[in-house]
Amino acid sequence: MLHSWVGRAAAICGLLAVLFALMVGFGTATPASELGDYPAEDALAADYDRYVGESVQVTGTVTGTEPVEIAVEYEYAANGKRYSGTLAIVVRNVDRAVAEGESLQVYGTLGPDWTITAENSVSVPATNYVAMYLVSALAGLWTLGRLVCGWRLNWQTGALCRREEPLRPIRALRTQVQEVRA
Amino acid sequence: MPDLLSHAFIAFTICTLLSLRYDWLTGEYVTVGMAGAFIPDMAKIKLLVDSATVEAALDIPFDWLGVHTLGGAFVAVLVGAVVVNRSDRRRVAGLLSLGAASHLFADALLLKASGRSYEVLWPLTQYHPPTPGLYLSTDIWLTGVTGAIAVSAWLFTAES
Repeated sequence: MLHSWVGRAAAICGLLAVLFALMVGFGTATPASELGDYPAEDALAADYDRYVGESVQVTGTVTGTEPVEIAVEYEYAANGKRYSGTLAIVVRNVDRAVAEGESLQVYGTLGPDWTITAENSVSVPATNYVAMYLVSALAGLWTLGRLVCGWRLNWQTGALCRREEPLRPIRALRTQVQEVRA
Repeated sequence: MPDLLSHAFIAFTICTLLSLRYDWLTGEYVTVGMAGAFIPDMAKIKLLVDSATVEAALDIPFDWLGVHTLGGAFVAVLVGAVVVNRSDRRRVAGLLSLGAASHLFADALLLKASGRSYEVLWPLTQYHPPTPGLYLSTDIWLTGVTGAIAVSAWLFTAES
């Protein structure tokens, strides 16, 4: 059944439907502190009062140090509408020196009036996201290059097959260079 | 893990070392393991279209991070197994699983303020296992360390 284009395409569509259903199922999960799944940014933005007095974990950018204040980005959807924005939260009991602009993850008790009393915090220096995406893209190119050199698409059956003779572009280039030198 | 390159290095190292034990595990199969390490980060689609946008458009709950879990990654591995021929199916499924599992495991060791990682075993359980907090998601030195180990493994197998 999985030897033709049609069979493969049908199986892949079926599996992608299952994957989509899993993502929908994952989206229905609500915070469960007893399992270590603490309410985070989006839950606080959607229904703040519900979590007052509970343990929460949020990450935000430090915007003030006396007292420590963080800007927490959120996005959530309700009734078919998307809401996004930034919450300003004051963090008490931070046991480390923090600098404006760095990212701070806080675990603590949510108080009324947009405050968190920290039990623990982790500070993360401001990150160069562009460099990080470039490095990740490099990994993608490396793996894709290896895939193209070692595997090919069989157009009759739609299957990905191992090449009997893997492409060796680097080795071929080296041989060519040596030939030119000789 | 800070970036995909570290995950690719880890999968490359595991598969390259396994090739010492299994003769069939050639370079082409090492690539399959590396591809497996990319599976959980398919959730990074959220950078283009965030989950709330999908939820609002379809008016149903939705979260891309579902693929960054045991269940989501397992289904994605099956897609990979369907794409190849029957003779390769078992090996490809095994190597994709290995790559994806190495990614999920490495991410479960990230430092969190609450000391708890993420729902790695979902949909079996929503439990967030305690994390030893070995590194931050921005520790770029990790890429250097995993890269150096990958090169050593490659040199080691090339010699033997």
